[in-house]
Amino acid sequence: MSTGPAALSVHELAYHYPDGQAALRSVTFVAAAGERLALLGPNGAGKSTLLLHLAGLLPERQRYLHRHDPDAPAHRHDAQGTVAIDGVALDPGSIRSLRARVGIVFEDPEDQIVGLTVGEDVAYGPRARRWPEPEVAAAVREGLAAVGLAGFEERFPHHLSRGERRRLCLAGALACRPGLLLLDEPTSGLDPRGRRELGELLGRLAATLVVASHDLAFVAELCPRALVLDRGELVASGATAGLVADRELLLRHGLA
Amino acid sequence: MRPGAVLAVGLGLTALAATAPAGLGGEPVPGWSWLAWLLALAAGVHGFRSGGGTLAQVARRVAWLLPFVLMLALPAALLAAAGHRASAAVALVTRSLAATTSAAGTAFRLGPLGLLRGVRAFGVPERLALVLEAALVGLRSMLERARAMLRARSARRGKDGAWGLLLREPGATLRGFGRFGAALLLRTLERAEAQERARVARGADLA
Amino acid sequence: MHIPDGFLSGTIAATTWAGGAASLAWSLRAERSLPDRTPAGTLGALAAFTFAAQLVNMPILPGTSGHLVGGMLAAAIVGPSRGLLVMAVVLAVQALLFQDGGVTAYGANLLSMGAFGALGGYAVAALVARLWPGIRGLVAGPVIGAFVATLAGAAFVALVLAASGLYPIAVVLPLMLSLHVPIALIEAGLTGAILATLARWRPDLLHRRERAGGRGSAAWGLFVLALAVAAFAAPFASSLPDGLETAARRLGFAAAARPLWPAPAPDYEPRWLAASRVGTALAGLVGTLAAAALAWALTRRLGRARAVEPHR
Repeated sequence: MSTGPAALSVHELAYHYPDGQAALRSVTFVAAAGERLALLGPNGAGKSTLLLHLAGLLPERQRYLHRHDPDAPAHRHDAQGTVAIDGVALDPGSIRSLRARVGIVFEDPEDQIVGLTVGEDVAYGPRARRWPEPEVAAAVREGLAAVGLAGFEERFPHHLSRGERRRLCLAGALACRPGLLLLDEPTSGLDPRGRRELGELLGRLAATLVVASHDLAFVAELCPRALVLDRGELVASGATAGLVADRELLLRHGLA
Repeated sequence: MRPGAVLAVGLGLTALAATAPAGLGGEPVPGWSWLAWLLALAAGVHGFRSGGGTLAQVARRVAWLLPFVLMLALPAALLAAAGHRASAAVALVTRSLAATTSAAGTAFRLGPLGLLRGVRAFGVPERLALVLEAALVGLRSMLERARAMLRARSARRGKDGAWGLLLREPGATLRGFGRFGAALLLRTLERAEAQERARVARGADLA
Repeated sequence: MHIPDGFLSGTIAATTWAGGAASLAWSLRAERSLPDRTPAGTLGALAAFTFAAQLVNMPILPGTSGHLVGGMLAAAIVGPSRGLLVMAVVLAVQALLFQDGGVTAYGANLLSMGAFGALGGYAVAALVARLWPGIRGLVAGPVIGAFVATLAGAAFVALVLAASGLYPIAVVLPLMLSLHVPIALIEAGLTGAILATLARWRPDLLHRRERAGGRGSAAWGLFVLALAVAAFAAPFASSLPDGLETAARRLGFAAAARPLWPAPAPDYEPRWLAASRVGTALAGLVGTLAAAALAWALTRRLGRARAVEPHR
């Protein structure tokens, strides 16, 4: 199992929702190992859907209780194109080992806190990978230290502030030492200091980053390169500074 | 002390206290019963204290049961042989409260995480342990969500509270409760699915 | 009703614990062989939901309120075996963290509220759904199932308390049953209210049987119904007490306590005891009719053009 930052390559990725609606249309881009990429776009552009594909969570292999479509088959083959991590394409055979290289942090902390205590939550990933307990404990310490929550192992998640809970979710992803880290709206609900601290934190990481965000100022500081997604299509890509300065582009795609 | 051992000792003491004879059949309450109940009470209080609780907390946790315990104990005592009724009543109430205190103290000292570890140490099937863990994790936010929804309902309905009285306006009351319950359930299932996705993302199927 | 610690004899506590564990073991095995997979997190969330729903007090009259227990509801959403798992966790959390229900009494509580609620109730509901096909049956079934299961559970509690030597069964059984008729109606009504709403918004969430047909489950449903009826009719059967008494003494249940059943000597029987039997049977009859009416009323508007209602 390789460590260190992962290289990402996406080629003509397309995806349809079960009801036929197109979510992604032929998206193609690459991210070099250790690169920081911003993913910009209005609501409904498909940013979250793209992140789910990069994390290997789509297409879904499981019929959940919540799904509206009880008669739909359990396997979804509505995706085309490839996602490759370190040159290895994501497919049913490779998906598990590749998913181990990817960490994803969703927008809402409540959607991803699964442990009784802070320590238990951060330990979930390492334990799922069957690491020996001493290594799990070390990974938990590392993850918590990286996000500034050192010593919080025994605390209960519901006693943490909103910003601390976000950092807890990040710690849980970092504890697995991912090569590729995906973040969905990491600054939503954070105050200016929280945003600044998060930016500094992410800046210190070695992993490849893909950050989906509306927060133009935040991504401009953190990510040298950006992609713009609108209605499932990649409509622009290039230096973040240049894209953010193009007022007409921002207006056309609902970013300003 | 390891969680499994604490749980074993605590529950064992509870079982002993709960089944010690209370003189229902007419014979006097044996001395060792009183000893067992005293031990259970002491152990329970100790469990609370060592978990950071106070005596007042113990009392509150157990005292709310008193009306119910009395309701069950007094008729049973009244049906006991004459001359033993008072002692049977006292014994029954003591037995119930002592056993409850011991169980409560054990659980308090362990806390949710300790309880989970203890239950696993007992060899409870992993599937059950996982369901228990998920329930404990989701309990607090569930209660908050339910409370918030109830407050919103009360605010909308005003003087009638969240949904009125069942016997006075059964249709509206049941409909209101139905909507509340179904909405809460749907939100619960949505969140559960999101969390399951997070678990898969973090490696749930890597095992 | 959650039985606290200290009211069950050692033998009864051990027996009911064994019975509860057996029903859990059965459920774990049964749900493993089901075609679809429900994540433990979903069942845990359902348990937390049931717990929260139990805390919601439904005012019946100024001063009195009732609440949902939820065994039938859980089974109506995830099926009987998973429903029992949910209830097992709900009851465990209640017993350990809230002292609602004893630890030694956990087995008895699991059987009375979990097994009778999720398994027994589901069997009855499945039977009703066969006779009343379509979405209406999927809601009406659990309404009847909840009603029957609550009464069956109450009868079980009475049996268990009597066998522990607390009260004679001739007294506690009719009392428990009569008291639980209104409680059973509330359970039926609250269960049905939620399911009826769910049937309008998300009918796909109501659990349907994977295997079509199955005479086995119809037999179970009839069995549970028969038990419930027997509980109401038993006080009238004079030969039954002797048999029960002998069995109890042989098994050592009634050893130290008073006789389970007064000797069949109607001329010496106090009048209130005879009246209570008739009263109980009457209450059962009226209650059953009320439950049927409830099932009909709750499902009246289903099956028509589905109304699209906002649910926030």
